[in-house]
Amino acid sequence: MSVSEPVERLMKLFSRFPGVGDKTARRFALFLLQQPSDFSSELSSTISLMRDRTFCCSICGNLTTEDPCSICSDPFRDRKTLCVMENVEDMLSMEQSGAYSGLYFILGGRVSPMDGQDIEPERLARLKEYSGKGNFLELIIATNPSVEGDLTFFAVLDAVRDTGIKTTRLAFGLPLGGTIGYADRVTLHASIESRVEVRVQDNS
Amino acid sequence: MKITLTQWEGFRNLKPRRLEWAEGLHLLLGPNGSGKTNILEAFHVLTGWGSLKGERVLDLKSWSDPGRGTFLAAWFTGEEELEVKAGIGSRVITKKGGSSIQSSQLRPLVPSLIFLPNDLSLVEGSPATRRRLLDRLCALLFPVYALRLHEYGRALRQRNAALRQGKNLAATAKVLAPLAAWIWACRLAAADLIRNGLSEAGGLMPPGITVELKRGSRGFEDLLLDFWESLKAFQNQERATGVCPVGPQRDDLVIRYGEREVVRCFSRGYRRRVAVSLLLSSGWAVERKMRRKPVLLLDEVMAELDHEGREKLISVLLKTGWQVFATTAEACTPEWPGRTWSVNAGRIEER
Repeated sequence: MSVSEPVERLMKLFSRFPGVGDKTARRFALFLLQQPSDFSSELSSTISLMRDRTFCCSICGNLTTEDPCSICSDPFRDRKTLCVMENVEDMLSMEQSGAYSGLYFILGGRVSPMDGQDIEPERLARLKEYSGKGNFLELIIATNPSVEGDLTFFAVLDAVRDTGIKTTRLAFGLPLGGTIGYADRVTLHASIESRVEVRVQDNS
Repeated sequence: MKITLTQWEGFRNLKPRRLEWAEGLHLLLGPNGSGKTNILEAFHVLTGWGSLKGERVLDLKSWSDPGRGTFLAAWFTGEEELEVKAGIGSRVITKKGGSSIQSSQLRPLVPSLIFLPNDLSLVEGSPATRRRLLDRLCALLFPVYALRLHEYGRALRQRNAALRQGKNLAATAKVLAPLAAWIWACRLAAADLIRNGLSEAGGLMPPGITVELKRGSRGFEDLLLDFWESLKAFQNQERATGVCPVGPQRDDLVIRYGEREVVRCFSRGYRRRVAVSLLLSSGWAVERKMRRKPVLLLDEVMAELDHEGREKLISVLLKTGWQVFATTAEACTPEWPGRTWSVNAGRIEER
């Protein structure tokens, strides 16, 4: 072993993080050693605090330190729209985009029999109950444009079928800010297939 | 499209070389193991396809010095002027005119079709071989075909996994149905184009040969309805076998001469003529639909053809106006109306 045992252990722990390989794990560990000891103490206490105090919101499934979470208890959110997402990571991306101001429901999984993954029936039952009682006018199923995203979409659609709420799915096609001239043929085909009708407003 | 100039270095057994190519027919003549097929493979890679032997492109390196990097380049002219370069080292980098490009994006730009010695199985082999012919043509004609076929394959594996786990199959069927109907629509269009193209194969094969897509379903006209009804009809079989028996994965391209299947009534020589004609029909389909002339790569295509068959094949190839690269180990080819190159131990020289 070329480094001390604690450093080696820390490197192994870092390398279990998603997207972190051996080299990055080594860089992280050595970076920590170069910082004042306060930094390591703060990091470890923050991690412990996060583990102790973070739990899932009883309404939407978001990670929170208070129940209900800051989104569910925000009086300024649009309470007529519910966006169903696979996981908290997707929800955070949506929040950061600022594109959506309604409420969320986190499924906490996706449907992929090949990988042995499924959405817990209790979670789908909870979604049905929540969407039925919540006076929602629209339910957005925001799953990925992939086979697994489609399977998850249909599982959710099946669960909320009886609620009678208008249900939509995210669109896919040309990237915003891009140009048709630079779009690849696959993207152009997808955007042609998912084109939308333009409503002409009569302003006269 | 036509290849006007190629350059290779560190590729298989080929010696580094920069070569200019004229339009029309090219015959690569040389003994077994001389490197003729490797030249076709280099063209295959440069037109966006992979290895001819199912290897990863990453493994297509120099046989004598695998640690050395491999470099391939081609300049194309015709419907568009193009410069394509591929570097194979620790990873594969493909560039079009200096900008990185996915190799699959090159396929519609420089459509190429290849005939390999074992393509006789197009006539006498399993349906999977004929589906591959359709899939290659569809991948050229319909830009999202390869992606949709990949998605269909994944959805099918998801359904088979759900079957094994005894889970609800409704969601997988809803994902599969539109994909299956879309793939069938593409394959039906491709089969139509091949059927029309066969008539242009001249005297290469006897008149009266028909091709027809036999779908892996009950055959209702409405493709979406066909999938749903077939799934319903075969659900007991599906439960018993644990494999979905319905869908494009069960398709076949049935080739008939009159009422009989070609494989039951034709000699090997004639079966080869039919197999080559199917490839040529795909070429005409590409030209008609994409408005680009394909580049034909024909490996040992003359084998098992008699003198008359070879003459007819050459006459049809001449008529197409496409750029053709054919290999042969035998010098008994009739008068070749194009350029002849001799290939020996990885070296290529014009004769």
